[in-house]
Amino acid sequence: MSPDEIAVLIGCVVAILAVNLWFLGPRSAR
Amino acid sequence: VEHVTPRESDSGGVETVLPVEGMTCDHCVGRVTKALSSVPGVAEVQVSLPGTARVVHGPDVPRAALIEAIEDVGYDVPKEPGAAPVEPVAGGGGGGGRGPARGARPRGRAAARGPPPPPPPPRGATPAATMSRQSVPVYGMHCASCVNTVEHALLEIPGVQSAYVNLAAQRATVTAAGDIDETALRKAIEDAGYQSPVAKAGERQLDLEERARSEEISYLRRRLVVAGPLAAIVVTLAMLPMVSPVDFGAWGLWAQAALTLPVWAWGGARFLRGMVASFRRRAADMYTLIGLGTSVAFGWSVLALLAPSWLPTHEGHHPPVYFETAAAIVVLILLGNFLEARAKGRASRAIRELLDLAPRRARVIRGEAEFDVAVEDVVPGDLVAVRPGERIPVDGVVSVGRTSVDASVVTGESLPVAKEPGDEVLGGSVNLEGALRVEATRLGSDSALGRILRLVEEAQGSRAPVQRLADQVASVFVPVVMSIAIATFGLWYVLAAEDPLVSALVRAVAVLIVACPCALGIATPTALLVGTARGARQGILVRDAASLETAGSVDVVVMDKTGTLTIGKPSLVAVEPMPGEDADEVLRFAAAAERGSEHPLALAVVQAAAGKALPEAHDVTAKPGRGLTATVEGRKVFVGSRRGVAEHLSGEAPGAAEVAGKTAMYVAWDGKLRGRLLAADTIKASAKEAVRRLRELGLDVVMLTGDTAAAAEPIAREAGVTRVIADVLPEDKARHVRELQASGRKVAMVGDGLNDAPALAAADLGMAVGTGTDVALETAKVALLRDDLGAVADAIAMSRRINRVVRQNLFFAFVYNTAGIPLAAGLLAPFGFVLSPMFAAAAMAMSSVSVVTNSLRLAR
Repeated sequence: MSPDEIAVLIGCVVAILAVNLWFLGPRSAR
Repeated sequence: VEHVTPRESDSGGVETVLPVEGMTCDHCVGRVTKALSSVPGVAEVQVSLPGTARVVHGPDVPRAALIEAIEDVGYDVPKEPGAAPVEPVAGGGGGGGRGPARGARPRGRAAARGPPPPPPPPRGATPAATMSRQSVPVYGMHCASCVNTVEHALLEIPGVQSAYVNLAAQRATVTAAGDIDETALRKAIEDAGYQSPVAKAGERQLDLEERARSEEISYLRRRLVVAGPLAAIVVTLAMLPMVSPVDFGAWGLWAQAALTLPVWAWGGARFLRGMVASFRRRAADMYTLIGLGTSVAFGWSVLALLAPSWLPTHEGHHPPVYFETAAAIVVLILLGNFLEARAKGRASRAIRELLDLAPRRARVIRGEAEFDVAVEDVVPGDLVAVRPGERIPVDGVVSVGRTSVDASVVTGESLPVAKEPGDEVLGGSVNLEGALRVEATRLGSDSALGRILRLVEEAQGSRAPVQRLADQVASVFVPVVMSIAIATFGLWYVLAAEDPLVSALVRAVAVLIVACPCALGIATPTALLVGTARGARQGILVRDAASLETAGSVDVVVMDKTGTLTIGKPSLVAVEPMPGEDADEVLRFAAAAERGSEHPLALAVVQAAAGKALPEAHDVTAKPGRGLTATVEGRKVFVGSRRGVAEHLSGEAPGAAEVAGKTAMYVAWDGKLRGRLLAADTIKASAKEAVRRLRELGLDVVMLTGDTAAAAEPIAREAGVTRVIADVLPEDKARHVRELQASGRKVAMVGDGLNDAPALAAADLGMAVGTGTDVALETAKVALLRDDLGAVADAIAMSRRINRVVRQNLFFAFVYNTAGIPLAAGLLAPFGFVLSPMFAAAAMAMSSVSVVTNSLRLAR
């Protein structure tokens, strides 16, 4: 795996966490 | 401890009134009613909002048992503030509480007893001092996630205890302790990014919705007319070089960019605004997905055009652009919204027709003159003039004039009914013949039509259990989909053999687009909207969506005999003259003597003699319980009971035997017994056909009656009912229903009377026939306005159809959404199948359209 592939994967994991925290987190409107 | 509430009621039982805390809706009322009805010895239960339970029960039922029953289902019975707060409830018979009979309002919760009331939970510890309900329009919602957002925004308002939003009807209904400030509701809705317009003067709710819908339709049409052709050009510019030798070169790309910009920014403005708002609100919805998908496709393409060096290129090629994808998605979704809005307009037309049945203006007579006023300004007691051919604007009593009216819109009864002074008429019915003056009695929401509309609205506003699940799924669904899209992007970036960034991006966008849960959000509401409105036009009112689901799964129908299967009034079935007497003469004399009487048996006799020329009767004297005497054509006539005639003829008792299930009236004149008339309660004309249809639907029909088996048997045979439960005391009706339930059956109870109310509440589905009492109508979950038992079968068949459509709709929605996601994520890519974002958009728009179209089938 090339370094930029690893970077993209890490970026994706962070993005997924961010999305879920933002929309489903404790202070979300849900 | 002082006992204040239990008192002897008129019917001989003991009446207890208990305050109940925590009830917020009809559902709660149903739960409490059911719980109290199941306490042994309870004969009658009446629970009403904001929080009172009136129970009639045997003298040996302890108050504590009632309180316990209420608390077991999760509600509270507050104690008198002075009472010891920790005294165990089950300890003494008194319980220490004082009902509201003295006007003592419960103040605060004495002690935290029992579990908190089930949904919706009370907010804060504010007890329900006075509960009020308020309903406002909400526009701009497009999916189930929006429903959540609006509900949460409304729940934030202090004092609001529950809020529910109906997506299909575009209304929010709020219950709160104390009065609700409507402007606060509107502000909360508008702050959340939706609209709640105030009606203009004279504009009714439905006009408002109509206006909002036509504004929505023209908004969408405007954007489509502009964006559609632009997108078509973009797609042509993008596709033509692929399928033909034409090459537009660089200017082709620039043209695509220039044409897509207005499509994306102006055509798709609502998606972009929705996306931004959803991020700000931290509540994702369908626009989040669409906005994100189109923006990513457009942004990438602009970047590829302006700064290709920033993006990885493949073998020296220019990085690909996806202008046509962004443009096509915007147009397809706009088209889907447009078709959906038009279909929804058609769906709510059914209710509109119902509302239009109520005239808006009335001619009120004040002094000598007639004034044309709005119906809202009529007050009870006003005299309203109605010309032939007009609809009667208010419920009232005829004071002048004779006519016949067609009340089919209110009662479902198609035959005209004759009306004369003193008769009641219902608003919305058509005055067929003569000019009338009607004294207004009940107006607006109290009127028969108003009540129907309220029930319909409540049913449409309530959420089916299936729908509640769909809503919950939707609010989690969007972030999950975004996660899947990101994961898709990451995986394809790593896995794709060539152009990793491009294929990763395209697939991520396709996932975002295909997953929009909009069809999921409208699957149930549209079916309910169309189905209940149609039911209402047939005189079938279903109180809430949950009852509709129940009605579809009922497998045994219990019918009360008197008044439900039968007419409930005696009619003459035989004239038996003594040997040598003429039957017509016996009837003629009896009818002449009875003509002035209001007794049901007398009415039956007079009705049987209708068409005969009856002589005048003089010196009519009634002897209660015996009969009456009168002078007819110079003869002294007696009509009455066996005992009465024996007294009248000084001891000569009639010889013929009594007949089970029939009432005999003996007729004598000139000191001699002339014959007897037999009256019986006869089955309704519709009963036999109705029972047959219920059996065809695969339902068991059981007749429940207080009569003896011998008396009930002939009626049952005539109606085609094979199972009879006879000799049932009124208070035991509910018990028999529960016994059937205990054997695993789902029971629908059909009844009409006050005495049926506990059984109606105890049954899985209570159905009240329209001629029934108000209590029966209030307790039942389904009200049948037609005095036609066929409506029972119609109602069950209708619920089954609606349930079937709801399931089909959910299937459509789920298939498009869930099957689409793995396809879009490229699961089948190894086999050469890739769902492009454009097809994803088309599939998504199709799912909404097919769901609405499917629901519209119910209107036929």
